Amino acid sequence: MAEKIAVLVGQSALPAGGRVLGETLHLSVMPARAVVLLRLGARSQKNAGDIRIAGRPLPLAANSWSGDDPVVCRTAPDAWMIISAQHPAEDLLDAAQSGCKRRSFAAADVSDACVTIAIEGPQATDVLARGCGLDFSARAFGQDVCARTRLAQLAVVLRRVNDERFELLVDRSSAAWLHDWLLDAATAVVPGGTRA
Amino acid sequence: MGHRLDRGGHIDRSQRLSFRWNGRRIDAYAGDTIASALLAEDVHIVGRGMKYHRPRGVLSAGVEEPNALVTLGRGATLEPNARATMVPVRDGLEVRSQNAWPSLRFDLGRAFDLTSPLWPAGFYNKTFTWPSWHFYEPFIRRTAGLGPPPRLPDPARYEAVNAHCDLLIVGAGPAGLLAARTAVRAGLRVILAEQDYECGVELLRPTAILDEEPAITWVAGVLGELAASRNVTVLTSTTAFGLYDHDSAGLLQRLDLGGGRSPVRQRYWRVRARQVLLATGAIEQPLVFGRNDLPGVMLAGAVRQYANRYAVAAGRRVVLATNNDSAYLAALDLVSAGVEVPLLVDSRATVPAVLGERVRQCGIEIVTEAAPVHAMGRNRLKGLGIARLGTGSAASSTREIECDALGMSGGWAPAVHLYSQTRGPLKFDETRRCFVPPGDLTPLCAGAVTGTVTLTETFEDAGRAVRLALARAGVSGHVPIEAPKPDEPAMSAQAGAARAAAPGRHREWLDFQHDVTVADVTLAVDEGFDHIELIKRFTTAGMAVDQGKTSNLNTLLVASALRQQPPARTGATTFRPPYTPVTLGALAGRQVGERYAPRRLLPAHAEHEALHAHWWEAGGWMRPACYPRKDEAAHDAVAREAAAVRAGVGVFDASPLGKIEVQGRDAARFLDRFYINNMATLEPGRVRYGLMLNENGVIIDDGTVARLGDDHFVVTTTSGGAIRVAAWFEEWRQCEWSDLEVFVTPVTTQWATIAVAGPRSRELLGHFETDIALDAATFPHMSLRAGRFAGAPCRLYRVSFSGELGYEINVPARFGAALWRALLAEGAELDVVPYGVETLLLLRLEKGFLDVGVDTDGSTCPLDVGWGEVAARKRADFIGKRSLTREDNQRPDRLQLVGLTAADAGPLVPGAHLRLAGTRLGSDGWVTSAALSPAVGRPIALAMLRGGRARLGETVTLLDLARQGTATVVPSAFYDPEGKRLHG
Repeated sequence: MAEKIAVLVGQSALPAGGRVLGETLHLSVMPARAVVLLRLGARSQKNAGDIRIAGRPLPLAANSWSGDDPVVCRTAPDAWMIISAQHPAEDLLDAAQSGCKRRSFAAADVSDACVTIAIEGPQATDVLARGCGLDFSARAFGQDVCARTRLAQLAVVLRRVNDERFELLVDRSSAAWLHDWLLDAATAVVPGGTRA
Repeated sequence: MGHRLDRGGHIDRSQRLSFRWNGRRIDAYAGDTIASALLAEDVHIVGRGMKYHRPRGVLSAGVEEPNALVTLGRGATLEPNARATMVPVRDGLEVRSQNAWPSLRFDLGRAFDLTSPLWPAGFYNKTFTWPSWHFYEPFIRRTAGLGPPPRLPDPARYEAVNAHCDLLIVGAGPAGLLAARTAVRAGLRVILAEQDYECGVELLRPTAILDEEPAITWVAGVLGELAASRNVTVLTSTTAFGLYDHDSAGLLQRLDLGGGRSPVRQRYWRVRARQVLLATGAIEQPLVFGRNDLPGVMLAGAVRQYANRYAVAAGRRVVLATNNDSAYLAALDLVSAGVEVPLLVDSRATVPAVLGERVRQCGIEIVTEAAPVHAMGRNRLKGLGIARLGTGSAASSTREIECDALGMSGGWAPAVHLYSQTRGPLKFDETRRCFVPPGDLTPLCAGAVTGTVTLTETFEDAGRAVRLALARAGVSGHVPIEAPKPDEPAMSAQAGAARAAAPGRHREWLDFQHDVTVADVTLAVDEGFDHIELIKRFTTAGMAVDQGKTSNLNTLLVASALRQQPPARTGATTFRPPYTPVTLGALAGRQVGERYAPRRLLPAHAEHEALHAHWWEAGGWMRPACYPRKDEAAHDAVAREAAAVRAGVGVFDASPLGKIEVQGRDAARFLDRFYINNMATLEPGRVRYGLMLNENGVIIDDGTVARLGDDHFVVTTTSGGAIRVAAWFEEWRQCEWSDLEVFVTPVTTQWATIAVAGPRSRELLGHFETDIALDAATFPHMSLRAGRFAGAPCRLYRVSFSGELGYEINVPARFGAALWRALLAEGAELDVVPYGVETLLLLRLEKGFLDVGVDTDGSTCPLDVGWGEVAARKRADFIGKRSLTREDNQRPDRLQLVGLTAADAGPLVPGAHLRLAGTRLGSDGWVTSAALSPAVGRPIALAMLRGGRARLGETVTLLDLARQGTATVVPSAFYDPEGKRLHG
């Protein structure tokens, strides 16, 4: 028998890279990120403010996010999503473990289940509004807001990074479909059609 | 006869356009609608009545038009039933009439009119009962249809957009514009929707004066201010067709009606507003008299609008008949435009002082306490018979006058449709003779929809409504309204009778679109229908696509008079969405074709494509059904793949298999409550198959539970059940068992799962570097090991759904494609084959393994599939346990899972019905799965059979459509029933 296969090479669901759809709209598939889903038990939620992940407290406001890297999004009353471009999932799991010690919690690596797509530009909200029922006005969906919601019939976690940039965490299996959907939706938004 | 006026109008005479009407070239100007252009060319017949095929002309100038329904375009872009009054002329547009044969002018369908006594209201309910309604239906539909639908796929692009605002204002007339400007100045986010292609409505007429200037100047100023604001979205050619709970609304924007070249034909706006303000105006109602459907008989407001806005005179000699003040304004405008108006007939006793004087000064004779009783002419109006109303509104004398157009006004019905859709209550206003919203409820109403008559009243009412909206929005401080000051005469809201109570011998039309007459309503009342909702359904009045915009009120008033009861008691009909017809394409938006539903791709999708997989869409996933080789049929590929797995080794992409992590101190207790068998006793590293029930004891899913550690389990579900089962777990965790410390995390797509099956599968796994011992003693069937496999983190299952020695390799999804490629490459020397879902289903069928949702349905309990003893052995409670003790679940004659074999496949197909020996009628069960088994060498099937398990060895009859055959009842496991192979 030949030498045993020792190493499998990982492959992302969509190749990372950006596309300029027009003067006012950019679409990018971000490089793979580590994503850990943290769940807290009922009692632990009461003092969740004391929990620190990588030195920062968990965001407590509903549908809010904080941090640079890792970014922590509160996606449900008992759930936080920890996202990092720099740290591997193992480090995030360790951070969750040490931050939540002696508390009732569970952490799961879901990095491979997620693909991050960024949409940026003054018309980003116009594209999103074609598939999502949320109010994207700055008043309702400010720069510290994230939401677990539906976009183009898909469950996504949507985060407003700044005034004109949104990042979408979508399931790996549907990422290509959503990317195509965003390109299509943009054709009605960008004057003269997209350059895609 | 209709003609273009030399001056005036809100049209661009420098831009000439033309379109074709039934093949004839019609010239028009930019700003014309199809209706105005046809009137200008004296085209008096524009359609035919639905039932009697009587000639019909343009009645109105707006959305309420019941007659001028036309077909636009041809081929794939054909649009039937467009209202000619709402479609701006486009150069080269092709417009055709509908519901007439062989031509619009000579329609053989007119025979129905000549035999009309045979077709009264409800005739089809009484006469078309034998042999059945469906016998007559095709003929009825052909003769009474509207425009034909397009036969070709629609190439246009539609889209849906979600929008939010503080205040949605429907209608950009005087009230809507003032409210919008005020709200925007106060800082509210506003959406202003106008169904016309330009804002202003009533203010667009040249004779409207605001602040001593033409009203259009004020309109332009307001629109300019709105355009400069980022807080407002102004949508023209946009109809709010539905208003729903919590102030959400559906708007249809017709981008194809504008002059621009939008890539989108129509846009469906889903608006979620914090408040809604309806400034929807009012719709003028016809007068009810004999032959009032004759072409040339129009609404007075429409005659006025055609003159003012389109510079089109409806006739050379126009008579006006009214029961309210508004027709006096029409008379003044028509005379001002140069149209001869010899007579104005008013059903009231008192002429409005100022308006009456002005009208008389124009040389127009006013006849009071009179009403038209019949129109004269064959295919167009030639004259009018007028009766003076005597005591009790009985006709006392008659006069005839020559005219070629009549402008009639039977009062104004507030456009309360959207208000009514939200179940807002209505009250009958005796003065105005119409239904109005009773007060400042929700949604807010402003302007003519509340019954205002003059612009002054409308602006005052809009100010009141918008102040209320601002207060409800929490806007503090004084916000000036700054309403303009109209120059207009005083007007009364008093409305008189809309019908002279002297029917004569001519039919009086109430619903022009559904051809309903006063006689039909009389028949309904005579037959005992007392409420307007019943009368509506019996006569079909108000049930056409115009939803009775020009007929509901008159039908109600006539019915009330016949029953001698107040209109409020007869009741108002309930309006339902849509206000105007909505294109199905707009509702679908971009959710068509490839974008109908999301498609989920496997981590190794490209690899499967390279192998020319035959795709199968299941549960949203694109999955390989099998991998046919060149010139190989799919069923041959399935047989080849199955045989290869039985003899050697095959690989299968099982990544969609549902995977849920269940963690926490109480995870074991939690899972034990879901499964029919014990899960709490599962040892770490072991796997157990289980059935999951709902509260009724019905099987809802199956799969394995694997224990990774004391407090850590991994549950697998059916591929289609992955999301549903996770939600089921969460529901019980959050709502019923919140005392348990347990966490549920769906991880289906975190892991790529490749199944390796066949007697040589262990051999294939041996080609890879791994820290997991693969030998049978250390790693027995139904076990799970976590470790590394070819350098990747791995959860390796030893399980089998094929009946052969089998493994499921779970690696993080990013390694899925590489693992697939490596397995095929390393397995080449073992003649490994990739196999698809269809092959897997054949393999499991040979083993008699259950496919939940295929072999079971919404009534199958574990006892039906042979799991009764397992359920009985479990002492602990589980969901559905109590239901299993129901007598009905334990009946021996229930449908039970059995195997079937037959000499030849014939009717042994899924769905074929079974009949027991000795029974001649009905069904005793059906085939759930069937295949020609290469391993067994004959056709096999699983079936649900009445009392099946007690019938082993019996012969049953198979019935599949016209085919009939026999099969033998056998145990459900056809291949290796002892299970020796999977323990290998």
